[in-house]
Amino acid sequence: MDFEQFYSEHKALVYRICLAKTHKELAEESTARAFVEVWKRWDYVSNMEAPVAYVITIAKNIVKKEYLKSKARQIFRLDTIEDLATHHSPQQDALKNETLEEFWSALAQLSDREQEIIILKDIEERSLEECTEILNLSLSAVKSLRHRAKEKLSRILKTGVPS
Amino acid sequence: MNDLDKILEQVKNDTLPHDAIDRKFELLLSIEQKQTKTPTLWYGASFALLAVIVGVALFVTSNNLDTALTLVENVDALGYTDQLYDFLSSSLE
Repeated sequence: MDFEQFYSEHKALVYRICLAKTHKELAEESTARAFVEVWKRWDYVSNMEAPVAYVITIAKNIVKKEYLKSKARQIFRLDTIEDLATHHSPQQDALKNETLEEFWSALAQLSDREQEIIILKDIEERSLEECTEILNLSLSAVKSLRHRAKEKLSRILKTGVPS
Repeated sequence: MNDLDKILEQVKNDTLPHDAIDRKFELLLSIEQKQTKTPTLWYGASFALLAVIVGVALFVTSNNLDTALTLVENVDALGYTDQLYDFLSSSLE
């Protein structure tokens, strides 16, 4: 597989995983930055067992780092009033559609693994084999993770709380 | 189809900002490519200039190969001793 193919096949997946953790602009930027990192090491990454898992990890780390940076800026009051006004809650500005907004907010309440299995299997429609490879879990573990994640997500959407 | 499946279907059909991601990716990639190209160009140009200056200066002022090579080794900050050695050897022959 060449890099262009890898990029076009997995960019939506990486973006959605970022979107479950942050707002739209940062999700876009983190996705782009993660793929640039992969591009830099493509010879190495292309020979990995699960290059998708690698790009997901990079993207998640970028989101986490940016979140910590913005927290630090707030703590040390380095943000201007305008900056603070433009900070959004994770998925606040991701989608105007109320249902979709509710969905992304609910998804953000799940664990990393739970978010990923929902995005991989139920949104991106990846095969169970691919899910096991990306999540580095056995088939039965993936199935039970998905079952638990869907139950929890339904509960949050109905009641607003995970349990 | 239950409520969650309906919502998941909606999420699946939601338009993704492919263009925005592509634009950001291309911009970051071009910056990255510039950063990786610049040192190579810079070192190449530096080497050419250094070789010309050292070679001409030594050729004009001295016919002493030992002194020339000692000086070349002292200025070998860029790791091009072998090329300079060959250049000067052939110049001073």
